[in-house]
Amino acid sequence: MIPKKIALVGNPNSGKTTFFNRLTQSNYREGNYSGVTVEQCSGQWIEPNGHKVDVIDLPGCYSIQPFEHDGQDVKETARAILNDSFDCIVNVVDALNLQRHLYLTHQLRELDLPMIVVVNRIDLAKKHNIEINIEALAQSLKCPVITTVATQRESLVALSNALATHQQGLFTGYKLNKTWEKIQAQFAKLNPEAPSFRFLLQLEAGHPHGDLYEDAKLPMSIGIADLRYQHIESIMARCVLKRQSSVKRWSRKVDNIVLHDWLGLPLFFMVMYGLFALTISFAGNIQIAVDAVTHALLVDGIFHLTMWLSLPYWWGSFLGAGVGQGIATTITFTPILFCMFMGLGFLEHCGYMARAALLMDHAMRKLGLPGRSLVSFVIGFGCNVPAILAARHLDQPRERLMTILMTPFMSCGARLTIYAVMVTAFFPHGGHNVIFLLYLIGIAAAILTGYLLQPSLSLEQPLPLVMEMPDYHMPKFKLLLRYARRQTLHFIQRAARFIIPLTTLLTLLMHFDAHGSYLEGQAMNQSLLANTAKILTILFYPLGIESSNWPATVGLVSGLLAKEVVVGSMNAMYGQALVSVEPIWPQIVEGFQGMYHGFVHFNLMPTVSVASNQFHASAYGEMLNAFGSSASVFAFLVFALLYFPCMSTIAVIRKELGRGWASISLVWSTTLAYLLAVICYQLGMMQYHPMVSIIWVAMMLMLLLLAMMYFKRWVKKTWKRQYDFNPA
Amino acid sequence: MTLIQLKHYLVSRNVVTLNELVSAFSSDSKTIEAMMQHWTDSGHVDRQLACDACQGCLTACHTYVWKND
Repeated sequence: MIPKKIALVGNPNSGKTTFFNRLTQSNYREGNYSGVTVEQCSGQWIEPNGHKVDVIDLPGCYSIQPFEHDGQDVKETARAILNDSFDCIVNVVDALNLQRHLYLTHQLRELDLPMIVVVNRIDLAKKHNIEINIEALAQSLKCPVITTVATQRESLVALSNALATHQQGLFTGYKLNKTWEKIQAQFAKLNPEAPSFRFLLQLEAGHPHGDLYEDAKLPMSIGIADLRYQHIESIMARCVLKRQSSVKRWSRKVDNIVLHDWLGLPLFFMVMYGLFALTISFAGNIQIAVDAVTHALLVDGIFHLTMWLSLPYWWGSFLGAGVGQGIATTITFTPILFCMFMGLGFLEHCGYMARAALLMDHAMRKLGLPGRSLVSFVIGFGCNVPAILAARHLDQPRERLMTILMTPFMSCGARLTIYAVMVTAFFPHGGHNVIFLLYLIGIAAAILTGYLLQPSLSLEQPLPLVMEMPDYHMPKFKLLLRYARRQTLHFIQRAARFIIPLTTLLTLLMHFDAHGSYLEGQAMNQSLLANTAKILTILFYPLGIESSNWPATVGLVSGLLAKEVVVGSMNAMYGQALVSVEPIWPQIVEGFQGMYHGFVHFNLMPTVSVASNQFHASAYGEMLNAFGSSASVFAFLVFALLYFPCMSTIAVIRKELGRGWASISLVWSTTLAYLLAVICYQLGMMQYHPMVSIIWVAMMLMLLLLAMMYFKRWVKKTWKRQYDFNPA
Repeated sequence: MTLIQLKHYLVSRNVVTLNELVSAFSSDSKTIEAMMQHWTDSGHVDRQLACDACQGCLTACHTYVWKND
């Protein structure tokens, strides 16, 4: 019988409409995603032999028993297939996703209708080293199977030949397995008249024949679907051969080096070090221009504006040197952040980070720490808040708790801005080494915390990290840009929320003393803010921070809100004391000249990124004078790395674990920060006063041991109270 | 790979990500998702995001949780 009406049926995005357009010379919209064809399209195909065939292109569907949430178009397709009359169904399947597409094919074969299967995109399958045995597939499905590339005319000839010679499919010839035969036999007794496929639909819809399937606990729909998948699995095993692609082979060779037992970890640290060096040296040059533009517009620009408007001098001082300085400093470091996120995004999307996670997992499990926490730690290098939320995927409460308490030590993007400011001023050569060292100290502090928690929580041998290793590939530049832009915008949004009100408040407090008198210049050292901060600064004497350097204390205190504001608030205060208004345009020109010079003489060992004529006249100069030594700067950086997580992080810890654990995190991190910072400072100053430094270091180490003991006891007590269980 | 095999894997682990299933069964994510849809629609499995603020982490966002019978 020569068919007069055929229907093109298949999963979404299998190429049906492309095929339809070729057949009928139409121009319906094609798209590389599902949901493009939303209603029936009909046309006429004139075969090579002149015979006319009506062709119906139905919207794609995954099953002729659609799910509840499926759209009306899918339900309409299912209805059309079951109720409308077609002389032949042409089932278009995608050779690249054959296993998925065969589910619908299987259902269509059960309908006992004439059918031809068209395996589309066979050219792409060959490129992916997928070989399909078409004859074996035709034997398994008991219907004609042809291969096509829907965009090519030769496919039409193949279809025409197949239609001319098609045979009606016989349901009784299409047997699944013995269970299926039993179901069929029992049904034949109950309903000898009704076609079998109607019976199947009743079963799938939950019609009471449930006791026909062996596993009575499962709904019938699951049982029938499972039978189909069993059959599909056997078809795939017989008919599809997938050879390992060349990309996969190459990936495996690289993994032999990257995942090597001895070379793997050192290589990882080298890669991360290289990332830091490249980011600082490249973005540092851009930073020169951005710094010049923001300073010119937001500080000097505001001063010029206030002078032009004939406003009192303090307006310029307040808005420009205070608020403007704070905002300008924050914006200045966005190039470094952006480039860092680009680098991290590259490592993640090319496939290397998955290997790094596996390497760290091996190392962590040797220390008895859970490797599955690595997901949170990696996220924590961007921001601690989503990193803590990501711990929800850990089902063991102990592992989850350990991960959440370790995560705040991961040096987030906001802390990177603090490092970048201080390193720029105090470590003009090899600043990237200092930053890298800080990241390592953070990781070491997290591992120490994990070590202390482990016996207190009685963790069992942690489960290995199981994850897919993607093949190596070059990530798309647009994807990296999007990722880095999203992360950087996230930073700017968080900073903007706090920095403007905070710098406004701080600048205000800096200009008034306790009696309400207005202060300017050096007199601001007697302001309300300064006097309060000087009292707090006493605590930081062992870190080398003296009372004259009270802005550093204010910076650290402001960091309790958000780490992003530390730099801005410090700069607002340092900049207030020494204000010189300069012309705007020459500054901008000089900034771009500095950037150009930096790129022309580019090297991976970054040097000072602030032009020398700005150095002493700017906040950097004030900061340099205030700190006095590199050792105190490094101690400050260690403290900023490890102390009190920001308010948002503490709020999330409290939400996830409760007030008790949030308190533990707060107290432990600040204590560890203080003791380690003092040790770092005293070690740095040992050449000047060795005995005093040795005594300080010994005292701090003893206090550290005491702190560790108390921390373990506190953890055990809180765990026991929370879970009413003795972990010992 | 059958629905029952997926069920056994999920029951033994209680919570799995889509990527874990892809890795365990050497299949592709779309096929696994389609098969898991049967379990989700029958009410035996919950599908949820792994974290509220996905920042592009290493594991896939879809997580499947087996509900107790």
